[in-house]
Amino acid sequence: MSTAEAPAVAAPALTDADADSAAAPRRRRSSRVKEALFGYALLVPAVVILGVFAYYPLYRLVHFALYRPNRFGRGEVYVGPSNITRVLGGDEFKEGLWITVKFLLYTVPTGLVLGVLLALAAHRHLRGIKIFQGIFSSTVATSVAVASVVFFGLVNPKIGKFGQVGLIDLSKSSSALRGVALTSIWQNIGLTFVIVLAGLQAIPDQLREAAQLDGFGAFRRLYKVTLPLLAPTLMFLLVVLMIFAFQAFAPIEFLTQGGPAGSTETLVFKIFRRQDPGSISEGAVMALGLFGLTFVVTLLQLTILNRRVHYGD
Amino acid sequence: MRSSRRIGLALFVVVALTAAACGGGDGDDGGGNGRAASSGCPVKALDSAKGPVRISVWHSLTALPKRTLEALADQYNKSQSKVVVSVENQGTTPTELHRKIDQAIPDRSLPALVMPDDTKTRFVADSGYFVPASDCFDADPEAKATLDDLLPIAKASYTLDGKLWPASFLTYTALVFYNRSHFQAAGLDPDKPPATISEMIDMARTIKQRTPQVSHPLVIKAQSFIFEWWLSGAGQALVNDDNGRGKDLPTESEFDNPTTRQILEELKAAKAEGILDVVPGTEGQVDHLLAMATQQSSMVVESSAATSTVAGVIEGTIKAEDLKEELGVDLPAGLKLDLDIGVGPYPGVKEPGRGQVGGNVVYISNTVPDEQQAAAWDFMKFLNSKPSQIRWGVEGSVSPVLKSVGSDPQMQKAWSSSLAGRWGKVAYDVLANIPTDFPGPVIGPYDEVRRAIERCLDRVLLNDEPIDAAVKEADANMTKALRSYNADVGG
Amino acid sequence: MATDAAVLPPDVRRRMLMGQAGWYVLLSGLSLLVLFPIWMTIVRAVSEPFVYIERGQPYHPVAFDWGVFGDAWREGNLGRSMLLTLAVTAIVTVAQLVTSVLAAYSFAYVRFPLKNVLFVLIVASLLLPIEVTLVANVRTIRELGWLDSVQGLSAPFLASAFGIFLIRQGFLGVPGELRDAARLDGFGHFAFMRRVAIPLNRPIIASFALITALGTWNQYLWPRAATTREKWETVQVALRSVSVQHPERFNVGVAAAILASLPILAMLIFFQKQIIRGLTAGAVKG
Repeated sequence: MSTAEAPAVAAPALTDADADSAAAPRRRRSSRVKEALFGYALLVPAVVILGVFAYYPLYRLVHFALYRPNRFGRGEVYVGPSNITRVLGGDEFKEGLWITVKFLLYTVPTGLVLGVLLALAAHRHLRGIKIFQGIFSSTVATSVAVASVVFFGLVNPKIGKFGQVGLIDLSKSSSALRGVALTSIWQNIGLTFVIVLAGLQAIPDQLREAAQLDGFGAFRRLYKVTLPLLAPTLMFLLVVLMIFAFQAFAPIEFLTQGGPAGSTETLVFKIFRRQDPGSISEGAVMALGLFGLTFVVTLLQLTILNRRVHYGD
Repeated sequence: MRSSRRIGLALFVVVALTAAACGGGDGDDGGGNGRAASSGCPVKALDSAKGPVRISVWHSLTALPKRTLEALADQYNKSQSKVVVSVENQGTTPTELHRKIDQAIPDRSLPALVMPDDTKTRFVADSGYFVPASDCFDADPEAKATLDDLLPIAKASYTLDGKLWPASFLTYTALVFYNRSHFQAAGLDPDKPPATISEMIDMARTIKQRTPQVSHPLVIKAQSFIFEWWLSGAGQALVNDDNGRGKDLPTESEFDNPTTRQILEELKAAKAEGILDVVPGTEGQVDHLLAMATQQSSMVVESSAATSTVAGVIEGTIKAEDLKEELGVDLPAGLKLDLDIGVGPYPGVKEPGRGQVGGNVVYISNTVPDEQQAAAWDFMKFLNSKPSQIRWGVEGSVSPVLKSVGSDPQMQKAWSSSLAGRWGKVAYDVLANIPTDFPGPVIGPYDEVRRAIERCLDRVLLNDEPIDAAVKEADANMTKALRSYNADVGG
Repeated sequence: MATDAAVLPPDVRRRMLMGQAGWYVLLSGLSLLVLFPIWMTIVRAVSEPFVYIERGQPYHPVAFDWGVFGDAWREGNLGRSMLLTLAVTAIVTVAQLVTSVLAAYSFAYVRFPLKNVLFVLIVASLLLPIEVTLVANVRTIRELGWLDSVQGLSAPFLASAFGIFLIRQGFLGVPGELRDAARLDGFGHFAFMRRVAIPLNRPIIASFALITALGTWNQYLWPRAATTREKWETVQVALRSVSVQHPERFNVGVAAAILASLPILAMLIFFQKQIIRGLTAGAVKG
């Protein structure tokens, strides 16, 4: 049987993970080496891809940040770290950062609230509840482009049905971002619902029943039992929604192209517009800024998540 | 896990930073020294080519001009067998096309022909990757006649350092479109369009007073070119060094000047008064035209490229199926928009109509093999021929750029046979008579300059911010862009 | 809590039924949040735009034009772009599966030095999403000559740190006894992988594949940045072309969007459970 299985690559047999056998040391060492090589070999495809398309770009970004390419392709000019500080402290980046944060503030809290609301409502035994669950989760089928087209028809100032509603007016800098954010909020409903519902379904029924028997009213049950147990799921959702907010691009391209007056130019949008040689240096610095932002936020969340999950509330 | 996580993260950050910093000067991609691959215009190379030469044209045209270009390319391909032209849409806005061209420069992956805005001329000349058309005219004496036939303003505008750069042209100018019935209802003479900005504002005020249902009689899209043309029409330079046409490259912006501030003040006041509606200048934005269509506004300034579409719709001469296919507008058969629109020359700042020449131009790249360059030149000759120019004029609402076409009976007949035609004639007359003493600025980083100006317009006219800060900011940004460009040229 | 309503006294029963009715009302109301934009999209797709606007954009369709779907298909070149997107999706999904399974297996069952460091490095790459690496990756693709090509569209996504993480988790969950038994039977690594590890983790692997396919089909930023010619547009990018080129003719744009969503909708309907499992992986312990 085992001969028929012998693969083309000389894969070593499964080694005994915690054996401390009395076999000859030389044989053990060489089989260890073989196993290590095998282990590395399995990793090669993934490491190469991630290396070339995740880490190598990091190196290139830093390089572009320090060396501005000549727009005619005639080599490059050293601009140094002062270029980085200049761009990161400059109006464009700060604007992009602020707009991205605003976008986050518009989409994340509403996303969480909507997700919890819908999941709580649909987490019960009613005939036909599956239909409602299906409806609530349906927006996972939409892409950012599709959602943008859908909302273009709703919020475009001249031909949209609700284009004139002041709160989300795309033609005014003060409100345009809200109109754009609506697209994301709607699109996120499906995913947030699915995730929170899964979290709710993981809570054992006995806990709720016990609380009920103890005389806890519906709201108290919610506060004291459901939400705390949902905390890890909600933290996860928070991370997911924040990442989505950082990535916002398509709704802006479809609805406002960054206008009016640059009021909807998120960081990703600004970076996207800076690919030609004349502006790629600036774009690279902004990308590094975005990277730093993601890094810090993720780190913060991981710390909070760790602490809350381990030590409770 | 925790300590090895830290080690791992620290490792990659350190490696990335050291590698990047040490990797100095390892040069960019294949562009290297980037001097021209070939010089002069190899017009004869086509004769020795074996088999059909394939070339492509990058453009960002939409709707009717796009259709016309495709039809002309098709006609050309069918009329001979040495060259096959393929037309490639590289974006729906000129800026996208410009970005594509910019990105293709370092690795010299340009096609044989590109059709950007005419504002790209300085960049094209400085890049060294394009053939100036005058070289081709010099090498091909038969085509000389075309050179002499060009409208004076086109020649003046597009000649840099003694050479004419574009090989073909899609010329437009700007006009004011106004609703004649609104004028009539307000007691204004429907055959006298406004000739200056102040007149436009005064007329708007009158219309609003007498027919208050027109909510904002004047509508403007906050586009840079409108503003630029007001300045050059008033003889005001945008940059130093003789508006960029002097010996050296311009180094300073002159955007902060009394004329700029005056125009902004007038418009700001009009907006505060409620008679001016300002639409964001983002490309693809058509709200200002929609405002005219819904009769919320009575006057708008726009490029003459819009003439045949607007006219055809109004007259009903554009059939429903044509509109559906070519413009994507769905009209039930027989429906006409009930509008009486007239056009007038571009209103000036202090005196009447002094537009500029604008539009798209075609450049031949020298980074492709000689036979492709020759093929490109051949196609250009076809596009510059009278029949093609007439076709551009009739179908694509482009103004002819050749004097002989302007006076050609066939063209005259086309102009007088429809509303679109009559408007087209107005545009042509404007172009033919623009004095050549002030042909507009020549700027390398034109797109950046435009962005700076539009940001200023947005701040002042859309966000109602004070003029001083906005103008100063634009001025500073423009100067910065110029200096960075010059550094790249020198380097 | 399926209490038999018939058994309860009438006033309690009435209250319970009214409570249920209340829930139905609430749920229907909430459904509107999701369904309203979809409904309006359908309305706008099938109505003739000019007439629709003239009538004040009602909540129901007017002047039906069913031909719009054919128009959208033709104008957006949806046939070609769907084929292209399908190809890219297939390539990326298969590639991510293969690279993730191999790497995950290595982390779970093979011993080699620096394993933890490498794992952290791989997971850390999640901090470098395409939004951050965009300009650099576009340059790389350009220099490789892979602009406007299938390889250019797929290359950055042939491996997935998330996939490695997920599947490694699954592999680690395989009981030790099975490994011992396999070892005793003389199974090599590949045999164990094929016959035990993968089959036992089929659900999570399948879910991951579905999520990857979904994500790749719906992707916008990278296809937008990595292509310059119209005929290399993926479905999502084509939507933009269709909408932008004819903004006043919005029925075509929305019709195209509807057509573009159909494949994913089909996937969601048929593989609902697996997709949901994939989406919630990591959200809920166990």
